[in-house]
Amino acid sequence: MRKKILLVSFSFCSLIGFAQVPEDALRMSWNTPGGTARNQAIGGVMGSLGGDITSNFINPAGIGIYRTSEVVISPGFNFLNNNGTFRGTKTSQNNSNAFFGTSGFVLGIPSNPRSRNKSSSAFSIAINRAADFNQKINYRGQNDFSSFSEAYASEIANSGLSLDDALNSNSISFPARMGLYTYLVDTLTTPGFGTEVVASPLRYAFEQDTAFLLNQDNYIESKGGITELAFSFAGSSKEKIFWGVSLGVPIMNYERASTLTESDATGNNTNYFKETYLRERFTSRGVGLNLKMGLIVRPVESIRLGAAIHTPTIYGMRETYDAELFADLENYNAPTTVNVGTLNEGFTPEYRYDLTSPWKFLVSGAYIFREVEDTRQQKGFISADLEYVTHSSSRFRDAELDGSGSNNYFNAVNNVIRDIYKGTLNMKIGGELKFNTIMARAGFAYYGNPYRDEALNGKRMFISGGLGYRNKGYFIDLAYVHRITNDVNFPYRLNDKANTFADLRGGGGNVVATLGFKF
Amino acid sequence: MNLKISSLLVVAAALTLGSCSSVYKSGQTPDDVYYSPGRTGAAYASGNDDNGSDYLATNQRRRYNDRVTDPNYADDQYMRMAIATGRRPMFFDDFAMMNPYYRNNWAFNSWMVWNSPWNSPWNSMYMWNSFYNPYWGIGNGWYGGGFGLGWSPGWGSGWGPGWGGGHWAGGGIINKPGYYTAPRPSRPRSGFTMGSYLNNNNNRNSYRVNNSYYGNYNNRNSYNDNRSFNNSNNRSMYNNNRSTNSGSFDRPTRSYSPSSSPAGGSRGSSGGGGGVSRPTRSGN
Repeated sequence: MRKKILLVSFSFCSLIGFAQVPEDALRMSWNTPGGTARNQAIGGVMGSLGGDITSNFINPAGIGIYRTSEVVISPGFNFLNNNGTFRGTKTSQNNSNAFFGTSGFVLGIPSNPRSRNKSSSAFSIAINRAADFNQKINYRGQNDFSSFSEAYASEIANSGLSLDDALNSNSISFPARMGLYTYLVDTLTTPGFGTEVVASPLRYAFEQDTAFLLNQDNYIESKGGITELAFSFAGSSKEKIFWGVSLGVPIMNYERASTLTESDATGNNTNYFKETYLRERFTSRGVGLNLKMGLIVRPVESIRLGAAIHTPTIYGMRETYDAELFADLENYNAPTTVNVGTLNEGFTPEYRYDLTSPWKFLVSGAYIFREVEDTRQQKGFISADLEYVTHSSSRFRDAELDGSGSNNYFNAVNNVIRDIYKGTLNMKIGGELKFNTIMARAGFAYYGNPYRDEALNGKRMFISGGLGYRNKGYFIDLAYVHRITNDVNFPYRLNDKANTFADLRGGGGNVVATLGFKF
Repeated sequence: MNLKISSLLVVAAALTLGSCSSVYKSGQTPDDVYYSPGRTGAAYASGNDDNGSDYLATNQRRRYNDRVTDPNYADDQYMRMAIATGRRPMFFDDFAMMNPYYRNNWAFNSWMVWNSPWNSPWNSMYMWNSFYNPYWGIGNGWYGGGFGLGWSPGWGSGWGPGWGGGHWAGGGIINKPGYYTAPRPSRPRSGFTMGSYLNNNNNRNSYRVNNSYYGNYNNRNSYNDNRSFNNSNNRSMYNNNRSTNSGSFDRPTRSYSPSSSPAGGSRGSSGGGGGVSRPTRSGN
């Protein structure tokens, strides 16, 4: 009896589920330029300049430069396109969305003119679109090398479980179990290979010792973003040293719907496979907390040097996963559909975990042409930022109440993150020319590749320009940021066979307007 | 964010901003990136033409706070005013609070500075807080005093700890919730693709990172030459460009060898639901 109780409690301990993959961590930390129109136009440079509300999110010491007050709003619009190249075939997909960019207020508290110290302080509350997940990706191509159902066959073969046990096992992923249910994965006995777990799209080829050819199509639509709320306090001393601290509260919301389709491209109606698709819907929500600290010094007039550290954000995350698998196996089985609910007693699985995002270190320099009070004499500035993001230091941690025994899994995922990602060096440069009330700006930003494997290209470039007008207590800025981004997307991963992936090239850009009011 | 909500927000905010009257309406608008003048010695134009007039170092701070618009308005007038209205220092040093320059701006008490009419004429404190406005204080010293004290410490002490507390409360929701959740049905350790990164060979509690296929990619079809598929193609075509690994790449070993007693009892872990069975296959 006691043994039975022990066994039961042991199985309860294993009622843990995870959906976390390394891509979830990268998505959270792979932030690209975001800020006011002025900041975006100059390539996102704000490590040493200061005097813009974007400082809240880059170097809070820049808020310390303020001795006046302002309130700003920044609406924006994205129009993006993604070109996917998959096994030699190119596919394009466009999408657009509006967003609410950097907005908030800064209260500058001026120094006492009589004080020798000339200190000042400033306070700011602002929100920022730290990441935008709105995009549509589509790629398709023909594949004579692998099928996505092979991932399931491999998973089940490795588990050492019988097919019936695997169908109900919590150590097997839902898609693999759905593959079993629909006979997309089954056993096959052939001379020389014995009994194997095989993917039905390859069944005929294995049986007849011939080739196979599949049409594959992956469509991914994602929504959401990270909106970060910042509370900053900053100050200055003797107009030489500026410091700032910012408490960041990123609120994350992500939804992804994808359809991975595979169909037979051979024209053979009796080769056990016609079509299969996997529809997945994944949502992820979370709130985090981070701290940003920075310093700006003015060793001599016109020159500013800045440095900032962003601590990792600790997110509390909650995810749901739902999926449906359809398989038409021609002469092998009648068309069958199954969803996660069928295998999970009608429940949509939910997962809770904590995610620690990477560190960010930033150094910057700026040269101001005519750092004077009279706005008619201000001529412009040029500035450059260098930042280092430790992408490989993202960590998952279990946050389930019944989360005993889950560390092995999370440690393994964390090890994979360490193995496949690396720290990136991001560079930004930008400048402004000022003609009294009118300003013209240009900038460039380069974001390094977070993938350790050089075959995977994840470099991103942003070219930007903009105009500004500042008069009568108001300012209006406009910016256009053109993006040239690279990424890869694996429709599925095989751990016992070479993988295939799509190269994604992103184009398009975004326009941002900032309206500000000085008081 | 919902498009409609964000556009509404933007329009509302733009209207609010547009309806504000800036201190800098008739002068130069400071550009903080270059130089942040504060309220003292601000560039101030004497004429009405945009930034085109002569540069005058006027004490704008006083100008905007002083309804008398007396350029010689001096701090000691506050003192005289306070004495005249019979106000007495209360919990704080009355005078020091009114004049932020008597305090260290860096310190916590710099919040108090916000409440000072010196800081910003737009600041609602100016309108609200009669205590700190000598003119509103006239003839109504008692009322003003009470209001002022009520509001000011609220800002001073309320912001910091109030926010801090809020975050930690949020943290409670985020992280392990303090309530019991009923056991949910069996869920896989890997909801989806993670299983393919790892190799959980026969052992449900030991996940091993499978490195052997990192960096091995096959992104080209071997049939690509003529874009036609012939059923007589044989398997050797799979690996034209991977001859060194031929035979292991196209058909890795996925032997079906279930152990007699599966570890952990997979069915048992399904939360008592009894599990699902495969429907009977209908094909041949």
